[in-house]
Amino acid sequence: MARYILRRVGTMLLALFFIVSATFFMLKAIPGGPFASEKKLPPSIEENITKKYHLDDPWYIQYRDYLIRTAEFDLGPSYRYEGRTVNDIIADGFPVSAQLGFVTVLISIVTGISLGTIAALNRNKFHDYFAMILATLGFSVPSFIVAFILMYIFAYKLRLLPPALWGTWKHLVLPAVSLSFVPTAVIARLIRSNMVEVLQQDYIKTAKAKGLKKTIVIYRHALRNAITPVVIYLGPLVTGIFTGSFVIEHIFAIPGLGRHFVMSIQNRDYTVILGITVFYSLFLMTMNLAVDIMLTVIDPRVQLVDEKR
Amino acid sequence: MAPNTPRDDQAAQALTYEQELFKPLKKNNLQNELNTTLNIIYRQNVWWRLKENRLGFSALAIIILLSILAIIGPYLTPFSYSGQILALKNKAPGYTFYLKYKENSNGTIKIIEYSEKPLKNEEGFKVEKRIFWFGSDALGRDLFTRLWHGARISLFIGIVTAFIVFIIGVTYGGIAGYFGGWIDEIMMRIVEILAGIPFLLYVILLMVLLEPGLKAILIALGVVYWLPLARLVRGQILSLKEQEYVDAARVAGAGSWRILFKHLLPNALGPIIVYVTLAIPEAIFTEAWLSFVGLGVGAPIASWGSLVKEGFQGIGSYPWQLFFPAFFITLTILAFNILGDSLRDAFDPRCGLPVVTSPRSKSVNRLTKNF
Repeated sequence: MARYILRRVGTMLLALFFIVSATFFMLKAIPGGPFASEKKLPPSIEENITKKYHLDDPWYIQYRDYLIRTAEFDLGPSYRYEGRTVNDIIADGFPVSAQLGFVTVLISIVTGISLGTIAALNRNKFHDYFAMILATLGFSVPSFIVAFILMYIFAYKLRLLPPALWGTWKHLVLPAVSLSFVPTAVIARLIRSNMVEVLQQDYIKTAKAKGLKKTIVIYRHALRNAITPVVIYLGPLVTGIFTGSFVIEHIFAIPGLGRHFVMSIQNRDYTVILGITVFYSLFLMTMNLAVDIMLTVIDPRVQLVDEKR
Repeated sequence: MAPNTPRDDQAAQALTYEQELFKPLKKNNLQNELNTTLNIIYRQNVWWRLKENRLGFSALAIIILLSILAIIGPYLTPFSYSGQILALKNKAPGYTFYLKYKENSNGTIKIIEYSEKPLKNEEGFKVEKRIFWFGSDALGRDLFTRLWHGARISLFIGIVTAFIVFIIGVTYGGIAGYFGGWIDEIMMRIVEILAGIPFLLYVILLMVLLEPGLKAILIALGVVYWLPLARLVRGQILSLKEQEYVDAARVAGAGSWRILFKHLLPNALGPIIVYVTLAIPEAIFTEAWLSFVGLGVGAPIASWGSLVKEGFQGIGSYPWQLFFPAFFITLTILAFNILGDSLRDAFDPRCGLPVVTSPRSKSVNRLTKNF
């Protein structure tokens, strides 16, 4: 277990090093300097700027400095917004994104598990087909299209919810629901297939034979054993929700990190793009590792070992 | 080269006492190896099971229909995908109008007049009745033409990406799984490091770096989505290479590459085809996503993603501009997903959905999905 975690952390650091290096050389490779604009700067000012940002150093010195700065979580200044650093942007945007992400995870787990359980308990009946058709449909509709449909119906036609911006819980509903469609569908399918298998096990028969109530059999015996894949799925789920919220935040004009990311892509604000990429990579890889460790706590059958060869 | 398993040793011992009956073959003597028949029954079975699955078969029919429409769709109207009539912007589906134009000697067209009422024909001019079947967009371009033009781009991206992913993933995973040892160790370590990075971030980074356009999208998607396939293929090969028929083929004189490509990979083809089928909707989705964010194909080229993006500008007033591309993206992704599921059932009737048993196996099934 300790060996496994150590190895995972090692791989993670290697991957981060790869990303940081790749982003650095991408920055260097992109044509046009950071301060290139239509207006020509006086040579003395340009010289000062170049000196300030150490752009006159040879590339390996810059690379070393960049690695050190990144290791100290200093992701550099924004090229577009004067006086704002990437760290400021992350500090502003991430709490909003995290809030949205948390609500989305909650919605998808609750709805997904309910749908999957209902489907498995009524296997090959109407409920099952209905839930699974819903799940396949939810799986195939891109989140931004769900967002448009919901926005059109609830914001433009019914005028029940605000179409954009951030603040009250009402602003949270549409983005969170549209983001949760795909993960809900995946969880529902996972729970259904596992539940169907678990329900055929002998210990379920035993539990029923003991005369336990149906609800106790389902919740304490069946669901707990069928839930492992959902915990496994939490890692990709969090990744998907956070990367998925790039577009959702953009559509609903939510001032989260995802929106800043998309804006920086459209502005070609390279340091912000790369800084947020490094941040997201670190965050998501840590989440994945945490989920895998959590899994051993929840399900003793799972052992974290190296890949068998 | 050959893995020295205990079974091989036993076999060697058993052979010693009738040695005069056995003569070593010349290396790479394929005469005996070639005396095999194709496994047609298995393939027929798969096809038969797919046909039995009504849902999967209709998905296949929808995909074929969409592909045909993508090919012929743009020719069904007299409009071009980039030709603008600014005065006729944001018209509703089914808008009919009459167009009077003059054909210049060099083949270009000069529009003289258009009206909702029939126009009189004059000498040297031509009058035509035209219909915006799906309405027009904010620049007065025919949405029907643009939609099928976008279908070409989106389907092309989906299929070519799947092809790239297939080639890289199968070769990489096959080599790692078959040769094993330190080759496998190094190759899989690289995959592990790359797979740690969220796919979408990766694609975005590549798109920022590369010159925007179709080629960049194909490279970015192809470079990323082969990773899970390589793991899948490696796992399959690892378990398949211990089978007796591999020993048999080797005894009959087949070389490593022949065993890998003629015996192992065809037997691992089921899950590979399923993965590749499911990579198509994934690529179409990611392209739509990228176009929506502004990293996709440039104007005036239409892809379904850029059409959704353009449609989004007028969501309050002209919902059809968003509805048609959104509907066709969803239909296509749905059809491919259903086809992938049905193919999985057809290749392996025992398993419906992937049963996940360890944290490792999450890379194998489709849990790497984007939202």
